Amino acid sequence: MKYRILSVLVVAFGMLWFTHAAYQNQGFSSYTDNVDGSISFICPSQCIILLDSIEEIITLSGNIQWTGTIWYGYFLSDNMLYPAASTKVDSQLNEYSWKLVDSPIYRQFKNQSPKIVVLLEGSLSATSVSVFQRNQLLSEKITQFWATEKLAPYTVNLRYGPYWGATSWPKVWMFLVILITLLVLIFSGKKYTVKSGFELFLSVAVGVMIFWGIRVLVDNIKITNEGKNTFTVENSLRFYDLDDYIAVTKEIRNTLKLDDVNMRRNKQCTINANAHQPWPFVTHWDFVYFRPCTNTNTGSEADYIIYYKVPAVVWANQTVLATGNNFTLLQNNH
Amino acid sequence: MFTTSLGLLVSYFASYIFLPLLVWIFATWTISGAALKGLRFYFMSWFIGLWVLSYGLFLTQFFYFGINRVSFFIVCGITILLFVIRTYFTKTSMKKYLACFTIKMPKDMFTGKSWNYIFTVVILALLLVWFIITSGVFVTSFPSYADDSFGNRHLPVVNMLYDWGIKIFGETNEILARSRLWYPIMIPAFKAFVSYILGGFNDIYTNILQWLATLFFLLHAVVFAYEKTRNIRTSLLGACLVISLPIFFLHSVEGYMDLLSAIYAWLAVCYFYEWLSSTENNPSYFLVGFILLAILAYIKNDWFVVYASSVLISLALYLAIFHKKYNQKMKIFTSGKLWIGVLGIVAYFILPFTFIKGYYNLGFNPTTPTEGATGISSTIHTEIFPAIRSHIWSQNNYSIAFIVLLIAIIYVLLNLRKDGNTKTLFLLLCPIATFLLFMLVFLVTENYKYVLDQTTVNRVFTMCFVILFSYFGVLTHEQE
Repeated sequence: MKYRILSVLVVAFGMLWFTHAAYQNQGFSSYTDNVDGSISFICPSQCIILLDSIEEIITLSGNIQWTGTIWYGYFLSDNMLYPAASTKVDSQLNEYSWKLVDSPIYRQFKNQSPKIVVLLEGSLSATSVSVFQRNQLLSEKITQFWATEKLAPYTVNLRYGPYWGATSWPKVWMFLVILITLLVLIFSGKKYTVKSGFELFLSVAVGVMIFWGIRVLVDNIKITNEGKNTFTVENSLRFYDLDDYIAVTKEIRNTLKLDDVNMRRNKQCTINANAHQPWPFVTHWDFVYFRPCTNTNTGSEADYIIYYKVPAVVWANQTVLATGNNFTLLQNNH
Repeated sequence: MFTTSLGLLVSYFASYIFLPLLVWIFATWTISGAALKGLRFYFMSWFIGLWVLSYGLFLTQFFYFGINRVSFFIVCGITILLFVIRTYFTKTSMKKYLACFTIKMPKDMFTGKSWNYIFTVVILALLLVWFIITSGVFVTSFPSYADDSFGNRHLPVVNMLYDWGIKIFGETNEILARSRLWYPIMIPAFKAFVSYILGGFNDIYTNILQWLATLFFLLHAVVFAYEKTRNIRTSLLGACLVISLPIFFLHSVEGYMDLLSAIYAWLAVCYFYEWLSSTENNPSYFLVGFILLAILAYIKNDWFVVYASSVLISLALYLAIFHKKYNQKMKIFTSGKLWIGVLGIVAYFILPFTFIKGYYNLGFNPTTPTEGATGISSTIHTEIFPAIRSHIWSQNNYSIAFIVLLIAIIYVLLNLRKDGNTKTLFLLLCPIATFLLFMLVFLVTENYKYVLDQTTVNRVFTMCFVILFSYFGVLTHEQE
């Protein structure tokens, strides 16, 4: 009997952790709530679905057709919509999940009781799509806690630090510090004065901080290893989210002999750099990686033109100096 | 720019350590005489030598020299000359100076200690080694990554390298356009010199300087705490708390100046503390502390005068409260030797750059991207408080450093009441005053924007923690 109850509980738990979540909608030329909880719709240009709760994961399950972009964002009481992440639909999309807890915006807005908005842009249709919301499972939280931290060029820091669901660790650790201190005070059998009690409190806090430091050091090793594997071991100079930027930069510098200080010293040269993202790629080229040359916005006046991850345009008065998978280096024949 | 080889790696290490060698020793001897001895002398002197050389290379540019060997030998020559002049007037024997190199290794570190104690020491030491190896691999393998490394740190280096120095020979304002003087470029001048002698700017090895500074800082912290507490476990604890701060790792491997600034502030606190603790009334420790503060004022940007002033305010406040106890010690303020030293320090470390700033109409740099001489706001920006609360509780950038800090403050105050150990109050006052003064800057200037952007404010606050935690062992364990 107890196994049956246990089975029912397990199944019930399994059923409980996701719910159909569509709530309000706007902008659809056709919108139907199906009997099984899924929805069917035709969205001609821009449509909105307002979800009924804020959970840690949103999953779109079913077949969405045609082309467009699906966003999710936060709708706050100030009537502002804060977009968080998007995915593109190119002819069809079968299943897609957003992990809200991976976004710092989620932590920022969570306590302000926001609504979650799914925003469809473009021409999209679906016959039976389920929108699920659920919190993370224990196993997912553990995986999230030990997931490798990421770097970002805009911050001289690991980005977020480890999380447990959406809970930040300072709160958890503070609770643990107080709990451990109280347990030791009650069960150690020693008599504590105010001073020795504080000494204990401080020792526990310091111990917890150093334990936390070990987790931080694990992250340091993980990101160093990640960098080693792509940058030096394979000798591909692929570097975190900069991809092959350093490899391309090295090839351009070698081609233009920019590292030859004596040849280049006090000589002017200009480069017009074009990249799929101006920052950090063009910015870092301009600041350091293309020095002593300086950046110019006008391609026709520049000595050299670079296209990185954007299509190259070669005119009759230009010579191709170097080319690779993601870049083309041109020289203007003034 | 991205060339790697064992030979080049060794050359970078050797250049960063040994190029300031001539300068480090003679500069420290010139300033403090033969008062400083032992292992700590090496580590601290490296920091002074680094700045004297960097600043010297920077100043020679204004006498129409380039970033080259001539500038280097001029700086070394002047430093040695000053030392010779001092030795001539003070008639100090060279034997006394050479005694500074003596290192006495402690023999009773583990005698009579429990296994529990030894086990903790091993774990803490392993953590430190782990950090040093990982950050060492990072800094010797990868190019710069974080944004400020480029525009504010490396740009002046490559400009100086390709221009033969700071370009002051062209238009008057060219110095601004090419060298970004609103972020002082003394350390970049040294890096440009190293790049020059090693054949070009190397983005993979250039940040080794920051890593070496971190290494010497951690070693100095351990040695300093051990000298004060005679307890290796407590000494290692401070260094381990510092490396537990999540921001610390990347600051030790990227070209930023925040950590280096914090190190200079911390060293100044240590040497003022040393002056307070010393039994003989020797102004050497005070002068070393004063030099480190003078360096700090111009190391990163003009608002870093807050660091320097906070340490001075703490010292003044401390001496005012316990003036009866330090009556004898304060007599050095009437000593002519001290004031000659202070004037010398101001003349070299403060006046030249202040004059250059005035000459080129650089003014005070408020660092905020707004118009105005100082960036003072017309309102008080109380909105920073919810932002700070959110940074502390919703992000992991400080770990639980704030909590440990609060408990430590209460603990030290309790200790103070029970044991009358007042010296530690000075160690506590300095980081707290720094923190409060930075808060004041954020409250009343346009810099409040940096609090709303967690990536910047985290650096500022973390550096206050670096100061506090690095002498954590001394703070909690040294008895009067």
